[in-house]
Amino acid sequence: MKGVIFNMLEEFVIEVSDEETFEEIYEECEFVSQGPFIGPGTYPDEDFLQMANKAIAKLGIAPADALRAFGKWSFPKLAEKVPPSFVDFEHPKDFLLTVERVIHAEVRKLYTNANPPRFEFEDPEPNKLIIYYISERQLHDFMDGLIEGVGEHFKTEISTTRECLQRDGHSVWKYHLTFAEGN
Amino acid sequence: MDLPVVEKRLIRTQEKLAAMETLLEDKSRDLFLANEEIQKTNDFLNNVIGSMQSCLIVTNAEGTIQIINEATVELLGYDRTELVGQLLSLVGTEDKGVNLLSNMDSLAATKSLVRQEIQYKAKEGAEIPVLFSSSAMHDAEGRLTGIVCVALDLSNHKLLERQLLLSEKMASIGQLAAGVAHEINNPMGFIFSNLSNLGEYVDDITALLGVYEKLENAIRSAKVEGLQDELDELEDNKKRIEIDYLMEDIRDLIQESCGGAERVQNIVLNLKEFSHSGRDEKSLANLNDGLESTISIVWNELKYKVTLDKEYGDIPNILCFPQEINQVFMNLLVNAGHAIEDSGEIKVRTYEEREYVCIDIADTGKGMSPEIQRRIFEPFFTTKDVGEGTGLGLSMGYQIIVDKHGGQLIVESTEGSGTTFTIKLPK
Repeated sequence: MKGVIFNMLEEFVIEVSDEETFEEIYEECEFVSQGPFIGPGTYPDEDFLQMANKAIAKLGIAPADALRAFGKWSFPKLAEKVPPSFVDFEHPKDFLLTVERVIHAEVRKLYTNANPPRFEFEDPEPNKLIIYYISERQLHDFMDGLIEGVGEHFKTEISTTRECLQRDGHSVWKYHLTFAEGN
Repeated sequence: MDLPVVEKRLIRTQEKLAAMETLLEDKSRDLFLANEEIQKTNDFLNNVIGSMQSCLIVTNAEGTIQIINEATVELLGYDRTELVGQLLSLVGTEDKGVNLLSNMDSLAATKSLVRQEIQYKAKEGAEIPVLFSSSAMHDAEGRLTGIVCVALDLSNHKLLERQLLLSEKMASIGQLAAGVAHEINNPMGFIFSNLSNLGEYVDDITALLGVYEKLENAIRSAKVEGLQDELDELEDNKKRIEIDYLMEDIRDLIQESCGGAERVQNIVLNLKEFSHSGRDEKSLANLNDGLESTISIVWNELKYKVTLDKEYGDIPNILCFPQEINQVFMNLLVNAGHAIEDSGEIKVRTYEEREYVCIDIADTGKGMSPEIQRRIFEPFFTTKDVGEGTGLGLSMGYQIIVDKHGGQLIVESTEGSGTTFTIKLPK
């Protein structure tokens, strides 16, 4: 997991509680990695999950709700960090269709040890999109929040349903997205 | 006791800064190495493009030239900076009013394996035949980003094609001439022989007629009775056919016919000499003979306006392709004739000069400017009207003398006073 997500989680926790709470969470964690998390670094997924679970426990929020809220909160922050052309689209569908090919491809190019999720797409109708979310991390709740964040960023309501499929013994999440008309 | 939160965060921020610095250094080194790799790849690609024999032009989606290689610069005669940034259509020509290189849709639609012959236009305006192919470049969204054009210069290929055609034509003419010569030679043999016999028969008949005349005179003197009518009839017939003139003229006619037959035999001999067989290998030949037979072939074209001065030196036989050397003689003699507008002189001279046998063919024609002299050995260059000259005669002559025989073909010309071609062939 990239350090930028760790730092965003820190920022999120401080925003919904305070610095002291975050420091408590941080000190309770027994991280595999040494040293602080910095944006461009890549760290073990378990360090992130540990920090996220500790935060969820400390804040007393349901895990799914917490990850969704974190995802929704994260999207505009992430959008600010990438070159403007990466998010310069009229419609969220056009943006989503480029995430795998542009953003994830660039991440893999810049950080050889990075392991971003993999997205596959089906484009059944103009106002619909099917996304297959494939990741060992199984952060589908975080993904839910990110999609909500995308809808807000592009000012288009996106209704989402998802189902869990099995592929080669792994869970793959199939997202059915419907974009509100008029945008 | 726990440090205050602010202090903890400050310490971690400092650690983050130190980590960032290390990361920045690592990334800077990675960037430097990556740049080096890019530079190497760039140099390699430039080398590949630069060493391509084919002409490469890469345009953007609008048809503006972005990249050209050395072969293109050389072929078209432009400076690189004159082409980059210009539209591709600049180097195209119109075929039936259409410049293929101005139509991006058509270029983009052309599959790279489809090659077609088109003409590139050089800076000086010359049209250069090329085998052209184009292929479209697209981005990840399938949008056209440019066209890659590859063209192979066909000038040499075309020249060889034309030369092959011409030499095949010459070979056919040679074969035909040899065949005709052979066919004419046989009947000419008996015509010439018969005329000689006829001359002897006429001599015999003339002698016999002399005896008859004596007899006639004797009969007249003897005044033989009963023969007067026959003698009168004989006299009338002699007057009517003008026997004295007839007997004198018949000898002239036979003599002239013999002379004519002899000339035909000479022409046939020259034709055979000109279309000398054994084209595939060199043979020992005397260039004086070749020159003489070629002159007699082309003389008909020259005789009305040209006086010919021949100065044959005592030159050794040389190993050469006689038919091809004769062809060069013929081209030079015909050109000399064309250079003389009303009347003039052609002087042919053969001589030895160190390791060479030399032949001068000099005319007193209109001569050539230095610009024309510089270009006369270029294939397809001609100063003659369309259809009158192929522009291949001197270029083929150059090939035959220089490339095929290791000799020299030298021109000296002064505008207004004449031209001398000197052929030097190694002994």
